[in-house]
Amino acid sequence: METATTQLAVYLIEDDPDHTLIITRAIRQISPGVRVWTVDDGESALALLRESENLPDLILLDINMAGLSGFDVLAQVKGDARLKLVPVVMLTSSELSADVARAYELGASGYISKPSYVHDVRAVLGNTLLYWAAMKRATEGSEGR
Amino acid sequence: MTAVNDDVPRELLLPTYQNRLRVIGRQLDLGGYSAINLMEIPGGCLIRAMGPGERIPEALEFPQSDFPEVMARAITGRGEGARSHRPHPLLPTGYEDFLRALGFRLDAQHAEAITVAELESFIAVGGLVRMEQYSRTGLGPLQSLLRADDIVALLDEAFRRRTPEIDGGLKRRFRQMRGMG
Repeated sequence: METATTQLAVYLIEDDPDHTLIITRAIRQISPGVRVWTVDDGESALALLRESENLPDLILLDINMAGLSGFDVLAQVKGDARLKLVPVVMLTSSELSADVARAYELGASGYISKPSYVHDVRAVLGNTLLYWAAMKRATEGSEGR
Repeated sequence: MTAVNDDVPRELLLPTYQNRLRVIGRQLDLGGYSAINLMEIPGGCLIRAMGPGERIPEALEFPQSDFPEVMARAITGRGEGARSHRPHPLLPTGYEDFLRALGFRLDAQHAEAITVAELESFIAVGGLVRMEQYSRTGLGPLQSLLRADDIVALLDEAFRRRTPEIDGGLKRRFRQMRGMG
């Protein structure tokens, strides 16, 4: 099966430098073409997202961050008309069902759990590729009418 | 390349979500997997799932190129193989029935880029679906949290579609399993 070979732009919002390193390495291992921007707190990430001209294709967001939590950031992203179509995948070191359930209730597209980083990252990147390819086809189709 | 059995009805070999998810569900049931997290990627599906007796999830791959052969095996071997699925409170009849029924709905919605994550209290289904009024694209995000009652309704609808004489049979069975009736 294909892995993510096309360029995707990913925001990685994570305050644990070890996890940032692990996930960044996993992404590079799977698809070196993916561009990753790392941000280590929720407030800066939201400011960056709101200011940036080009939105990322995917946001990977740690659930448990100091300051604004992943849930807070997720709720703001999904409540923002400009940002809400960007898939947000939560990062969790445990599979605490209540945390993951809450993330889905707030609009998360999925979650990545620590024991399965590489497999999960591959799945998430591949799914994100399909997501934007479908959106692009639909947009082109609607413009061509 | 393996020849696909000519006895397999052509409609079952169409790569619809209903057919593809059904054979994946069958494999999951036969393998005794639980707690699945399925993501569609280019060329197939990747699934993280807990194997029987395991504490660390396994990574499973279901390439779309294998689908016709797996479907043919599923049809010719129907009824064979011990189902070792552990009854999940949300999925009393296992993954094959659920994913098949979900696939039918996803096909009807013209879904794309789907995800299915099984949690304790619900099953989260994501991706994109056709939405006539949604912005200019015609596609909008699908985010559906299927709780126990939604799943019963989905399965009942599927059973009724396949065997019209069954009227609420699954619902009764499900309620009995949950000690509700």
